[in-house]
Amino acid sequence: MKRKGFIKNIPVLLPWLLLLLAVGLVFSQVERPAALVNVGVQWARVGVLAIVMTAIILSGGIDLSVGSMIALSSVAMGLLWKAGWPAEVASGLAVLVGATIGAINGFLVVLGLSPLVATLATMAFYSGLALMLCGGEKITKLPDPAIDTSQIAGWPSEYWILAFVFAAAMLLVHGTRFGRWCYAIGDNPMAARFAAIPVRRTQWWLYTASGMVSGLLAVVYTVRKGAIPDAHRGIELEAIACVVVGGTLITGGRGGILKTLLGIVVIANIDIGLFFLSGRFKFIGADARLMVVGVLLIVVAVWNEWLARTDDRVETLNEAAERI
Amino acid sequence: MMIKRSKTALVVGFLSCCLLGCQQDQDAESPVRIGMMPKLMGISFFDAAGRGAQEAAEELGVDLTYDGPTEDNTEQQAKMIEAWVAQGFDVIAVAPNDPDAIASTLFSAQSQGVQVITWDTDADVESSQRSIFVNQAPAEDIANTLVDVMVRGAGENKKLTGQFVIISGTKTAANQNSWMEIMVPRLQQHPDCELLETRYPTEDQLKAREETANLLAAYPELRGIWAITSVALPAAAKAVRDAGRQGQVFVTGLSLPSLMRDYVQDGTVEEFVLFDVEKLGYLTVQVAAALHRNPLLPAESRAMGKLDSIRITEREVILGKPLIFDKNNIDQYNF
Repeated sequence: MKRKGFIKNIPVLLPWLLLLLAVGLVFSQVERPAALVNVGVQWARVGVLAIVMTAIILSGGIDLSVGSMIALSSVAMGLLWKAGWPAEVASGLAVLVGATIGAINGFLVVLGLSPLVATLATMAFYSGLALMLCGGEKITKLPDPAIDTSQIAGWPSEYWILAFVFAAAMLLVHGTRFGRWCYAIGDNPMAARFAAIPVRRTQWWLYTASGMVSGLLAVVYTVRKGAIPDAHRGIELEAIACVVVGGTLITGGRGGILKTLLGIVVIANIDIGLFFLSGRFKFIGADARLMVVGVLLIVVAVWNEWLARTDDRVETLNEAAERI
Repeated sequence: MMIKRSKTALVVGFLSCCLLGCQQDQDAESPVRIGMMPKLMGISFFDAAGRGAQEAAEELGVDLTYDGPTEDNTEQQAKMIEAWVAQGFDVIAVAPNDPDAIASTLFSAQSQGVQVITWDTDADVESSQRSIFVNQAPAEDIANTLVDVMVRGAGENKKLTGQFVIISGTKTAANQNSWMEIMVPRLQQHPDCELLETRYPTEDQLKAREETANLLAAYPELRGIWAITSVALPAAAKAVRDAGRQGQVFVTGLSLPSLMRDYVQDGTVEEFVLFDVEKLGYLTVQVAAALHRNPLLPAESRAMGKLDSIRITEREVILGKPLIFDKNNIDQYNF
């Protein structure tokens, strides 16, 4: 019994050990710690998406189109801004565009399409639309905005968005009925429907929220660097990796926002730390970094699966015991 | 039991981190750390530049990291540069895929005390505040040589007649764009020359070949192709050879002798243009190391390591004139 308790705790401890190692790795190689703020911006961006993705995955869904939604919102903003609209109005409209195309995702899912198929399709569609609108070209050399929204109080805005989205998600997912609905839908959509949970409305809101934060991230990025339609290709997979490494079950129903935060910090530090080492050790290239993330995903997935099964087995044993 | 073991693990983990840290501290008297970034890794052009850079690094005893993204992606470049800044690099030399999108990253690197230079292709000078651009050859020289080679090969009475196309690389690449800016107006001196299209297959060999094949199919009267990236020229030559249009379509542009040897020997390509890529890499590291010590003073002609007669202006270092390769001299170059 004791032994079992120990093994059961390893998956809980494993990420923390990884975290410690990864953070140690990063800080051992850093000579300008202040510059880490800039290095972390891209991971803050991934983190924002991963947190919303966690809620979606908890409800048994997935959103593959986040990268394309950022691209489309960003291009929309770039075009309006370049055409002479004030940056503030263009920013507002970009967030609106994000929310709208997120709502379209939600609508497709509510219609009964599998989220994987629906967002795979819109991933292609939105990114195609973005490329068409800007003619395949980056929109740079934008005029200076009246208010620089890429930084707030000396910190890149991505960090503020991350803090806000994290707080909101903690509250919503772990403190409200809405959050419990997400878990219930992910656990068993049929049962959720019978329990009079508004399955469709919940799903629709989740995908709309995903679009909205994508739009928000697009605004910050566009203010800083311009509209680059292919800059965020593949970011959805990074976000999903953070969710899974954190320990949220990809099939839904099990997991949490805090876990994802842990996943983000682990993956970010491993990636940055390995990149730092790659200068000294030539065999650690971009390929090796991808492989490490891949191995990490497999290990965590196997652990999760195993954990879920043993839990189930314990439950059925208990049920059996009760019957006797 | 459980707590004890996990505690041990924590301690071991922490100690190993500290060890890594200590290793770092020991080489406090470390040499200059230079990070040099190509547009992308894994193509012959930038491999050759990397060899030259390594040679200079060994001569000077500097700590060189030559690394870049695996595709021509500006966001990946920005990420890597930011990490280099945090790691404490002294000088960063970058060949940006996009002169504007990289600017804010370069600017922030400069403001954190890193010397930033560009090489091969430039960043936006004003918004990036980079200190020096290591230029292979003035853009006019390259553009003019490209047109001259075409006139020699496909012209009649020193005039170009017929249909022509340009195959470039990434749409935002500053160097290709600066050459085309000079080439296109020069073509107006040839009233019978019709420039049909400019294609941007990115730095992708397969795409470049496909685009060329499509162009060849679409324009049966096509007279000449300028393929102006190191990746595009061999791809274009292959497409022309596959279509059996050697002799009818004159192909030229910029690429590496090693990639073009076959096509030059079988006559698909008669002449093409480039500069000494290895020397460009070599010069970049020389400039980076020199800048770390002192600001570079403008000079008409000065020696940098094994290279002499390097021209230095206010914000540029220029390697020299472009080279023209043909059947007779191609075997003298091993990059």
